[in-house]
Amino acid sequence: MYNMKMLIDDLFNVKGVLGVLVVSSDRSVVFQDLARLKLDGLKETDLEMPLLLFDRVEEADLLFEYYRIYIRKCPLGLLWVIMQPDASAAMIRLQCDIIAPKMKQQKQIKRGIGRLFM
Amino acid sequence: MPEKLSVQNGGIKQVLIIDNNQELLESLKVGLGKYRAQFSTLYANDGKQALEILKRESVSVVVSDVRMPKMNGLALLSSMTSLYPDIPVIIMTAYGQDELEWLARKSGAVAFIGKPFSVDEIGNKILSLLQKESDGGVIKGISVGVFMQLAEMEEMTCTIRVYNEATAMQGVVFFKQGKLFDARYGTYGGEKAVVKILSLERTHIRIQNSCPGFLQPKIGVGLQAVLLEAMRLKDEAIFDKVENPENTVVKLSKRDEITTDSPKQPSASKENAANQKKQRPAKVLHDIQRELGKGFGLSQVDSDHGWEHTVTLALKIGDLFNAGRLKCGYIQTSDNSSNFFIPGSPSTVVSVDQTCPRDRIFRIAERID
Repeated sequence: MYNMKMLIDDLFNVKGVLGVLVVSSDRSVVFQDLARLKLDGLKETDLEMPLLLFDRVEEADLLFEYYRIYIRKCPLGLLWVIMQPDASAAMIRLQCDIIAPKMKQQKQIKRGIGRLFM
Repeated sequence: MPEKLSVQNGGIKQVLIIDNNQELLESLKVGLGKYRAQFSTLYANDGKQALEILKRESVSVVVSDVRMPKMNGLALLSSMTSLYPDIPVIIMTAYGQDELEWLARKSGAVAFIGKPFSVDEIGNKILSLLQKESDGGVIKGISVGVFMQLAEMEEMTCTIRVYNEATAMQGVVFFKQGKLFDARYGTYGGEKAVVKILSLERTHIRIQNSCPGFLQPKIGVGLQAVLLEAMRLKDEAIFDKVENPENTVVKLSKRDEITTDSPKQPSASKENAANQKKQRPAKVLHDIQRELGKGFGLSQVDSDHGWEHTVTLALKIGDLFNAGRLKCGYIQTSDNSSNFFIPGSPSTVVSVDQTCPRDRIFRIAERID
């Protein structure tokens, strides 16, 4: 069984990853670790407008002046990775490919009888 | 990121300490006990004994004296650079032996410690070398073949340590600027070692962002050839432990390609800015085709006012993290259309298929921006 922290730790092991955010399909923040960005944390209301982008979008990769932000749909909702502009994005995408299905497993366990044993 | 030296990253590391002075070994055994959560220690009295231990144990760091019977420290260093180039060696010397230090450094020693030293001095030196083993990160759940292809495409210079959880065996592969240079798996070296390493399953991969300088290329063929050979051997079931052959070679799509940074072009003067904006789609097309050639999944480049909404929302995302100015973006929609965009009025939009080398187009778009 995987827990969210373990999965996200794998992502943080990739050089250049600064923050991770998981937003559920119902637009609530499931997980966030933005400490390296020196941000207090995001609220659901902060996300309302940006999440409109994901009505039709499956994957977004945005290069900004200071950060690169990679967002992809996953079974749980949306997985956001904030990284340095020169981070190895290919490796981060690969790591997301690995952890996204595991997030699905976690979701299934929570909904079924498995939640009693978590 | 510094490695958390724990079981999850490949078990407790082993450090081999070699000295013919039994008293010193005994005191180190006691003193270094406080580092048992980070590493355990093995001991040998001379170089010959050390090589025997290295044959059967997975060792991360060697600490050796120079003056020893049977095989001295320099002879051991020479053997280690050819047999175990991945294992860093700390040499213990008496103060004032500059010439010896010079010789040892020339032979491949990475650090020195002058006798007498405190336990913490040597403990810290060992810890710092152990942390270097994974200064490029630790990755799990990915096949070794996939990662090697990534290292090749990214033109990485690195040492990759592949650790198999089930057997506790470790293999090491060296890349210099994306070129497969050498490898070690137990007593195997070169291409044979790579093939063995590719057969490992359930692995941790630790990435060190450097490669020993003294290393000479020992693999004469390209990575693809080695991957194919490994696959062929697996198919023929030559290796003892083949659990999941289809995991070994997985082709990365072209979109995962990455190139090195290119120098930024000087920004346009104000007078030319408007003119350049008009010509931007043509320039984007020209630059992409020049750098990637035709047939890289590029289907259309255009100016498009319809992207303003997308750009606005992307800017909102950046605002959440104080990310600064939006340079360019890639969007893949649910109907499987994929587009790059460079924000502007109008934005420049590059339609591509999903196999395009995304990161290379990013670099080009960033320059054009």
